[in-house]
Amino acid sequence: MERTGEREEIVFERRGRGRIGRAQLLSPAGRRRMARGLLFALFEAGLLVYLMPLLVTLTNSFMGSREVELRYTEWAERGDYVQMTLIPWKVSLSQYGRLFFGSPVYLDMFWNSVKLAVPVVAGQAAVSALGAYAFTVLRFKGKEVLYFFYILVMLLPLQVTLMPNYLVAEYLHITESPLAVILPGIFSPFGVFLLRQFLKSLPESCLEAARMDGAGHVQIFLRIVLPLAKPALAALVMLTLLDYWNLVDQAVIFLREERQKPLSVFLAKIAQGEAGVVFAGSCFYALPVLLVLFYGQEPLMQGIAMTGVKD
Amino acid sequence: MRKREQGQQAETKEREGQGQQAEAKEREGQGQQAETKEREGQGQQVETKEREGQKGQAMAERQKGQKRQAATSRRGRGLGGFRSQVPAWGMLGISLAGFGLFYLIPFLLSGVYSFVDHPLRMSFVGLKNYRELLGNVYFLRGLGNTALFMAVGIPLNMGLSLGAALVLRQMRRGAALAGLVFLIPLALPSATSAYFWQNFFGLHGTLNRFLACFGIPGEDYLAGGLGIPVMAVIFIWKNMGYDMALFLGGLGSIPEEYYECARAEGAGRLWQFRHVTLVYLTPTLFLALIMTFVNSFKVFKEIYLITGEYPPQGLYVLQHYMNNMFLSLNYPKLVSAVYLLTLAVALFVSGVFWGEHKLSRHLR
Repeated sequence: MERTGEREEIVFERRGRGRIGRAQLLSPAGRRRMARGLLFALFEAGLLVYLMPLLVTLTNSFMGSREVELRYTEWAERGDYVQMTLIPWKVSLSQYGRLFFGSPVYLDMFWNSVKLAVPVVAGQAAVSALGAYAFTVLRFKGKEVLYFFYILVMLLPLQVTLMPNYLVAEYLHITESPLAVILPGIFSPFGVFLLRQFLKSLPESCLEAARMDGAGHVQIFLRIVLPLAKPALAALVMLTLLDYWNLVDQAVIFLREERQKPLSVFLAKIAQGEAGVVFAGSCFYALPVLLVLFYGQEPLMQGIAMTGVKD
Repeated sequence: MRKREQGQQAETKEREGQGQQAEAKEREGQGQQAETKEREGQGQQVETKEREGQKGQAMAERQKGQKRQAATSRRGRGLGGFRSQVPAWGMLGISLAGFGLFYLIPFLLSGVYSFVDHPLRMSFVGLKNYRELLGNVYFLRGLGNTALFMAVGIPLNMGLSLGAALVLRQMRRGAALAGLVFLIPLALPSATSAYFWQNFFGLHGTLNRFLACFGIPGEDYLAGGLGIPVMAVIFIWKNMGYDMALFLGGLGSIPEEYYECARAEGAGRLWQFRHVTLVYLTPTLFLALIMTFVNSFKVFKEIYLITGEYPPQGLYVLQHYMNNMFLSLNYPKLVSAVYLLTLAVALFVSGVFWGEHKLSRHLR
């Protein structure tokens, strides 16, 4: 990556020197350079559009609650347009004030989210690592058929797997309990797929050598596979966290009682009923995952990337 | 200099002239005969002797090794016997127990519902549910919208992500930051992004306010007339980052020498893209296709948050149908729909794997 960058710079310099004449500007090289500049400008504009939802949420969280209600609901109800903006009339912390001190319900919901997401993430990482390792080292008849079922279930939309989940939860008498969301989350086949995809890219000689030294499966798994799989595991942890931090569908089905609902579901309600705090609530809720994303971007990108590269 | 040149010339002459001939002769003539003789004659004898007669230790060891290899390739790469494989089986067991209990077994058992008229009465009706489903307006509408959305959204998302990844690789600075920007939608709460898109696409929304500046009459984009493009925009906005990360990895794994080679032969950028980038990106493209497919079902979350359980026609997807059947406890209809969809997805994924298999062999 860096090497190509250097080369590009050299090329640029050379072209820069020849830019004195007007004919040079229209030369193929000059035209290509212009197209390149245009492409980058377009790309950067695209990035800004991409960020818009976050920017609007962030800036509007410092808008007074009354202003939010006016801009987003009342004027629209009167037939005018929604006045989405990046610059509030007045910067205020009233949304955050109402969020944290107005009612304890938001913090409770936040805590509910933590109690749902953390066990799922931890369990999914552990179970998936074990399963992926077993699928990599074991050879048995019907393995690929079994694995095909894993992939199939992974591909199916949540609405398909919710019903089996519900039937089992009913059987185990855990409907209406967070366990009905947590347990299926832990055993979701996605992690096995992601990690196995990664383990495929590990050189066989690596495991072979350990086996020659007389290491058993447990040792190989703990001492070799887990350390090597760190980026893939980090990616899995983050992807699962993003998924379960923002879960909506499962909670709608399983957690009917208001006091059990995570903030991700409740935010939707806030948006409908109490628009005045929706932006601050969103920022508050997005902050932990945004921080995780910010600090874990490298392993996340690396982990996702690794799963896509075969041998 | 000159001396060296002369020397080199002499050398090449020698090589081209006598030397080569001599070598060739040697090879064709005696050498080969001798070799074949050795192989056919003595060599075999020696081997057979070794095997039959002496049964040297070395040979026994080699045989053992072969046996072990055979066992390895057949059963597992463990230390031979079943006992050492037990931990691995245990690991599989943990994963499989949960997967079986929460997904596979109830999924298979629930199949019964698709052949009965009522979840409590349970009288067998054959394929009636499936027949009814294929004539059900809502189911067909959901199926049609979902299929159309996927046909538009998946290729568009993959193409744009690949383009973004290519641009990102060209960026000299800020590439990491730009990558982060694409990942942010994954971290925003769905309710937040739904709220944003609602205010953007709605009748009184920002898009219409913007269009009104140019005198273009407003329209409620969430009323369903343009449901597919609206869903595609939300989907692509949310999922480009994932595909882009995949493609960045794939692009990074293509050796720079391939491009240098192509450039040395005078290949243009387009040729390089088609014959180097796309060819070596094939495995990544297939995985991206699978992951985009998975993620494309998730757009329901945002649509559901925007429009609720009964959206306008154009935004009605298969998940709405299944969700509503589930909430109304209409298991026979739900399971029939689930099974039909599963069949379609199974066909799709088999097709993808088959295509990958064929294409990767073709490319090699």
